[in-house]
Amino acid sequence: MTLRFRSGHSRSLFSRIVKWRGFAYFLSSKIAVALTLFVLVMSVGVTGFMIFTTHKSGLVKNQLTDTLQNLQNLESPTDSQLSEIAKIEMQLDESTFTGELLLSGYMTAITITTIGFDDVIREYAYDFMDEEWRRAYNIWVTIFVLIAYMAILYVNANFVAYLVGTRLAENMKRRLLLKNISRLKDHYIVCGCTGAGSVVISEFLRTGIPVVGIDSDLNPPCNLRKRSGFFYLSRDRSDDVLFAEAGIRKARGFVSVFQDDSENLYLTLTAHLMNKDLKIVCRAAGEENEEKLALAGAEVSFTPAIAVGKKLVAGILNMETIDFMEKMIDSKDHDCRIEEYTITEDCPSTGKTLGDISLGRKTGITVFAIMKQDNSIVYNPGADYMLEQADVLLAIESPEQLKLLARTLHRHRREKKL
Amino acid sequence: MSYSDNSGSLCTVCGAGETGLFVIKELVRHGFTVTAVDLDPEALKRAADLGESIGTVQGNCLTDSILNKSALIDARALFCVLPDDRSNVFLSLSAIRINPELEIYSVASDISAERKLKLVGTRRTVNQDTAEGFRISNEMIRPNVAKFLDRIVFAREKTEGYLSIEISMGCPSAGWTLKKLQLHGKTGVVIIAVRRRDDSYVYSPSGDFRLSEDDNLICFGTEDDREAIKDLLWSSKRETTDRWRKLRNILGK
Repeated sequence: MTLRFRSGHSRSLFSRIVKWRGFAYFLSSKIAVALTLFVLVMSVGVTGFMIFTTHKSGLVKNQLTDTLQNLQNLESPTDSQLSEIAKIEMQLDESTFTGELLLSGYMTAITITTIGFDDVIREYAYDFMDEEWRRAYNIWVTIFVLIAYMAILYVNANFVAYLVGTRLAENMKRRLLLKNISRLKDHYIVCGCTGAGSVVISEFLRTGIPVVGIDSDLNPPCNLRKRSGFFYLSRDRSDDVLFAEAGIRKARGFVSVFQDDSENLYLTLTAHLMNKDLKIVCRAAGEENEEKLALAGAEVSFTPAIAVGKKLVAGILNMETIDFMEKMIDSKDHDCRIEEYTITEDCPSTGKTLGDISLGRKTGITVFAIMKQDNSIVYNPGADYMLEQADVLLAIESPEQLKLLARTLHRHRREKKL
Repeated sequence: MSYSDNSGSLCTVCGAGETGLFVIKELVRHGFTVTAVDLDPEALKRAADLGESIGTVQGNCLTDSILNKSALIDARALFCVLPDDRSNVFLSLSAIRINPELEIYSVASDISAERKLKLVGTRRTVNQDTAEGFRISNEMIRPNVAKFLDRIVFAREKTEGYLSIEISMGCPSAGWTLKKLQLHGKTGVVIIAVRRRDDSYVYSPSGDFRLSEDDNLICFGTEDDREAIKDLLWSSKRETTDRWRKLRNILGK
C-alpha cells in the first residue's frame, strides 16, 4: 500500500491531500501550527476590540441622535442644516454590525503589526471614551500586543521558512521527478553513478535508453546533470521504496556497480524480488562472489579485474583490433559503435534473404557479420544469405541507424498483408 | 602479428593482484613466458600456481635492482598493474630506461594519469572505470557484440577476424572510389572503416569514398578475403587504366 502511494499512482493533488495520511502529515507540520495560532490571535483580537467598538458606536449613536433631535426641533432649518440632517440619518443607518466587525478587524491588524496610526487610534479611543474606558482600553492593548506580537513573530518565521526554505521547492522538484519517472518504460536502473557507473550511464544514454541513477550523494554527478533521459534519485530512503519510485516493475535492466560486494548482493536481491524479469548485471569485486550474486538473481556478474585484464592482454595479442575499437569509442565526431540486432521469433523478415530486404539500399547499413545460433560466424554475408531465427546481425552504425534497421526488418509484415 | 614465436614471448607483469593474476593467466594461455613481480610472497605463490612457465621475483619493483632481476632486458612487454597511478608512471619510466624497445601496458585510474603514462612511453593504457563501464553496458545492451569481439581479439588461431589491408605506395587502386573498384561486388567483403594517414578513421565509407595511398582498409573476414582484396587492389588491369588516368590528368593540366 505504501509503495503504491509513493510511486505516484494516485493522480491528483487533491485526492492526495484528502487522504488521511497526507492530512495527518499536514497537521503535524509547523505551518499548520502557525496557521492555527494566527487564526487564534486574530479572533481574540477582533473579540477584544469588538467590546470597545460596540461601546464607541453606542456613544456615537447617542450623540448623533441628540444632534438630530436638536436639528429637527428647529422651527425653520436652513439649507445647510437640512443637508446635515440627511447626513446624520445616513450615518445612523450605516452603523451596522458588519461595519463594527470590519473596524475591529482593522484595529486588530494595525495593532498586531505594530503600525498603530496615531490619528486613527485618537479618533477610535480618545475622542469618545471617558477616563474608565480609556484605562481599560490601554490595559487591553498592552496585554494583547505583548502576547500577539510573540505569536505573530512565530507565525512569520514559519511562513518565511516554509516559503524560502528548500522544502517546498525540493518537494515540488521531487514530485515532478517522480512523475517523469513513472512515465518511463523499458528503462535501466543504475546503482552507483560515479566511476564505472557514470560510463555505463552515458553509454546507455548515447543509445537513447532512459536511465534512473541511484547513489548516496544528494546531487547527481555533474557530468550527467544536464543529460536528457537521465533521472537521479538520492539514496535517502529504504531501497524498496527507492526502487519502486524508480519504476522497477516497468524497467528492463538493473546494474549495480558499488564498490562493496555485500551492497551489490543486497541490491540485486531486492531488485530481483521486485521484478523477476529484470536483466541484472552486477559488479563483483572478488571472483569468489560471482556465484553468490548469480544465486541472488544476477544474470551476469564479473570482476573489474577481468574487464581491465582482458583489455590489457588484448593490447599484446591484437593491438590493431583493440585500437580500432577504442578509437571508435573515443571518437568525438562519430557516434558509431558495432551494434547488434537479433532476429526474434516474430520478426517478419525470418526466412528472407538479405537481398529481399535490400537493407543497404534502404538504410545505408552494411551488415559485416552474422552470428548464428550455434556461435559460428558468417563474415560478409551476401545478398543470398537467408535470415534465420536468433541470427545476430552485426554492423557499424549510429543509434539512429539501429532504430532504422529495426524498423526496416519489421516493415515486411505490412507489405505482405497488402 | 606473430606473437607465438619464441623471441618475443617473454613478458613481465608487475603487481600480482586480482588484475595481475588474470593478466598472467591469459598470457600463459596464449603461450607467453611470464615473470611476475610483487612484494607479497603469497600473491606470487598464487601466480606461480597458474602455470609452469611462470618465474617469480619478490621485491619492490620500483627499485632498479629488482627490475634488473626481472628479465626486462630480454622481455617483449611489461604490464604495470600496480594499485596506484604514481607507481605505474614511475615503473614505466624506469623500465623504458632499461629497455627502450619494451612495449608497456599499464592500468590508469583517470585521464590525467593516462596522459602522463603516454608521455612516459607507454604503448597502451587501460582506464579501469571505462573498461568496466563499457563491459557492463555492452553486457546489457549488446551482449553478442561483446562475445564477438572477445572471440576476435582472443582467438588462438588467427585465420579469421579483423583484417587491415594497406594501400601501400604505388598501389594502382589509389585514387579510385570504392564503387568503381567494385570491392563489395567482386569480393563480397564489406569495408567497415578506413584508417587515414593521420590515424583517424572513416566509418562505413560510402561508395564515393576515394582511396589514397597509406589508407588502410578495415574489414572482418577470413585470410582468403584478405588475399581476394589484395588481388583486386593490385590487379594489372587497373594499372593500364590508371596510366590512362594519369595521362588524362597531365593532358588536363
